Amino acid sequence: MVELKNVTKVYENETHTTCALDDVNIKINKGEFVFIVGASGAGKSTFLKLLMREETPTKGTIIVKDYDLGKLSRRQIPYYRRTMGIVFQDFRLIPTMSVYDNVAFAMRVINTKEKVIRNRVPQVINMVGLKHKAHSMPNELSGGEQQRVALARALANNADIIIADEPTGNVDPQMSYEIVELLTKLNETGTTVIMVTHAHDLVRKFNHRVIILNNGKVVADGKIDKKGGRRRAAEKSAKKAEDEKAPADEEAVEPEDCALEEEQTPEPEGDAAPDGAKTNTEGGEGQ
Amino acid sequence: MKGANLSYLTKEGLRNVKVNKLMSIASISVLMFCMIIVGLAFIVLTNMQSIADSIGDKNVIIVYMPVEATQEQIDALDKDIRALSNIKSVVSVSKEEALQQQKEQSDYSEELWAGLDENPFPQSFQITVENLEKFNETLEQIKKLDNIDAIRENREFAEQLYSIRTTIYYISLGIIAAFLLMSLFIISNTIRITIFSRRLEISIMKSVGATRSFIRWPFMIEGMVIGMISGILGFLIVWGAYVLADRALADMLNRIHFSPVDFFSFAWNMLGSFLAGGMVIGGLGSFLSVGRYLKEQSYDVIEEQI
Repeated sequence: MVELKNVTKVYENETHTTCALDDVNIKINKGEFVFIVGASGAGKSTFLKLLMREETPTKGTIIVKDYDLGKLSRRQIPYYRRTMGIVFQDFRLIPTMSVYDNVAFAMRVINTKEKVIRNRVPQVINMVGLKHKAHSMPNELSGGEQQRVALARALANNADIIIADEPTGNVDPQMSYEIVELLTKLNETGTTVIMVTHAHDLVRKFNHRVIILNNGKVVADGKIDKKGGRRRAAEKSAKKAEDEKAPADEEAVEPEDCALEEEQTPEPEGDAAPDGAKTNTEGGEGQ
Repeated sequence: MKGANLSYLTKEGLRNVKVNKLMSIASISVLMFCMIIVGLAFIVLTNMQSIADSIGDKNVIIVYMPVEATQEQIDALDKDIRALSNIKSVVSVSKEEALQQQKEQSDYSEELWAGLDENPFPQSFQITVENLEKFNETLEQIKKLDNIDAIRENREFAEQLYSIRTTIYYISLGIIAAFLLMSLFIISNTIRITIFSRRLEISIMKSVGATRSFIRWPFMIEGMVIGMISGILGFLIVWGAYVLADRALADMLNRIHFSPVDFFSFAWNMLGSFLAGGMVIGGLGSFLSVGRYLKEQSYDVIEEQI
């Protein structure tokens, strides 16, 4: 479904070079639910940008479904994006459109027939539990409800892969739980879900695969032990490293040089953002 | 593009004009203001030209033939003059017509005129030149023709008139060009601001897989509609201003024997230019401005409208 082979992404500007992802290998199978965890500057945004084909890798190949993203032409990109649903932390609803129209908008702009839209939109709005709010405007909704609208929009075009970038970042803990529960339900119907998050408690609560990124490298990949007490060795070391840093520290991590080939121990850094905190400081990736 | 698409995109473009009222009003105001200025400059130019032309028409070269010229000679000279280049009009004044004119203009009694044995007035031609710049050249050509007794002309006046006309023309053209440039600059910035405030929409469209042309069309239609509205309003205001100015200045203009150019002699051309210009500026401005945001990564769009 999603496969990154030896992917390196380097951002260059006049003054310095930043290595956002360094020889990353990830394989996500169809129907999986994966949490991507990591501190600011760890490479999560770059990972998402590569999947959304907003960036191309400096080295390596990315295959999503049958698309080789490095070889996609500009013309093909929109058609590739139609196969996935993207949910952003800031919801990105159009404030002048009702819930119904926000969802329908995603279908209209890819030229779906109005008859299909009339049929599908109520279906997905119902799926996210907002049937009674279909004609409300976004400013009349709570953060959690807005995120559910965004999710409905991501589902409207029958995407079989959902990419969620910190969907619970602007939502209270109870709502966060409900959103991940909703994503899990979707996942049970066969949709692949890739969710970037800072919320460790959610990761612990839902027993899905976790990929931990640190300094552009995958430092851990696997499921948390069901008992919740013990983690796999790599996860443990990564968590320990994170804990050593001050919990509220959201500063970007100094980027590593890609040329450094030797194994690195994860550097201590802050990843323990409290729930609901906005952690959008990806400055370490040099963008 | 399929019919259904076009109808959706047009509907969306129109909806955008309505929903983004404030920015639409701002764009329309700027575009309309620029059109009014250009329209007024055009009207001033047209009237100045009309004044210059009316003076220019009085600037004729009068060619007198000998009194005894035969009809054959008259016809031959008439033909020769008309054959010259740079001739705008030739009015032939026959001996009889000249006598008649004199009779009408003078206070002498009919008996006095009756005392004349024969008509003492010669056949003449009143020639207007097309291009005042070539006045001397044309004059020299006329002088070379046969059977000419005398020529009356005012070279100095012709030259002055030519320089005044040229100055008016270039000053007006300069004003129009300066305002067109200024308006293009202001309009492109207004459109840029309008579209900047819609980055969210563009980012969503991109992330759900809308094609570039599908993203661009509603913005272009919106720009064209704004251009059209500006064109119509600008035209109506220029029209109103012209009627008011005509009324206010009617007395003064009458005194100098000048009647302003009829508005409807150029009205439809002006409306057409305003509509076409507005649609091109609005549509092209939107096309270019959206292009800038199409390159932007939807991931990086700053949350600003929520």
